[in-house]
Amino acid sequence: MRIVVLGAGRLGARLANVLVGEGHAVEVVDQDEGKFKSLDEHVNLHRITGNIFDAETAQAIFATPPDVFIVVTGKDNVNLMVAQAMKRQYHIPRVLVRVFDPTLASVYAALGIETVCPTHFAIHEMRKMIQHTTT
Amino acid sequence: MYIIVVGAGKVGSHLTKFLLSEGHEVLLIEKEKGKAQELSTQFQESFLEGNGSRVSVLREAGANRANVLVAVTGADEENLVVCQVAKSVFKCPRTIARVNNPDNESLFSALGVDATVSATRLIDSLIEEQVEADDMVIPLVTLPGNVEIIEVDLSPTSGMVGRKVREIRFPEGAHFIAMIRKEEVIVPKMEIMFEKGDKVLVLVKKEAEQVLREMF
Repeated sequence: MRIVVLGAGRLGARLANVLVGEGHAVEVVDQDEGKFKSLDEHVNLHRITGNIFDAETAQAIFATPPDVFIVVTGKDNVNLMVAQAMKRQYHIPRVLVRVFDPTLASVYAALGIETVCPTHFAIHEMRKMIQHTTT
Repeated sequence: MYIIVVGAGKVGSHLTKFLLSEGHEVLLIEKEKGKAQELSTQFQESFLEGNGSRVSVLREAGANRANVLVAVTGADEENLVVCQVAKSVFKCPRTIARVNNPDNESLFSALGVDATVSATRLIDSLIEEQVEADDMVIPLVTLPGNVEIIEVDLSPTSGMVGRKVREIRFPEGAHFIAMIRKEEVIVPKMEIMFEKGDKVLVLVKKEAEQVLREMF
């Protein structure tokens, strides 16, 4: 699959490395070139320096829509706006968004956006672990 | 009406002041701690410190009973999220967002924001209007003593359209002569109404011209 990842922070960079390892073609977008240093060197891993809100940059990346667009910058509001804007404009089949604020994540999930909230996820995992210890 | 304003920059603060003076119930929300002290002194119970894109903050603000929510922070993404949360969680009947980047206007309305205000677009259209207004005024005759006779095309949006001659007070130094409607000169009578497309002939002293232009 062709996957575009916006944000090369801790989550974005690691996720990109994992996905490339699994055989996907991945493009990582970040305004800050310095963030790319945690990315693996791989023929299927491309780095794009630029601002996604800049129409030319977005056009260049999404002219052919990717199968999945993963939005993981450090700001919830930016992630939510980018996700909705790009999904709408470029008809990307799947857009996944990281949202730190658990309430906001639920609100947008209800609106049909695929959100991933680290807090929800940690709660879910810890509950599972607790259940395992009690049984 | 109960109106929530998110973002206490120049726009948000002035808007809040204006809405309060109009007798509305207003709550201004600002997240920046550095501004909180001054804002709470100025607006007292009409101010709430907090991040307006948080559900908990909007709940505390009573967003569920707000008639209007206006998001005017300097960040478009924040304005969008505030409006979407107000709409989807609190069923706010009317949300208005400031868009700092005019390219975002259509996106915002597609995503459910009821109205957008773009300062850039506004200034553009004001300038355009001004340019058009200047084009509409054609000097016909220049007379000695800085006096001229000018012709003004009434645009459909002119405040004069639909008003009668007797209702219009021309500025000091300007004298209404006649109007031309469909190639025909109409000698003014008090009860005649200005219509769009009319050409209005005015004798005007140079110093009154600016005031006169502003009338059209």
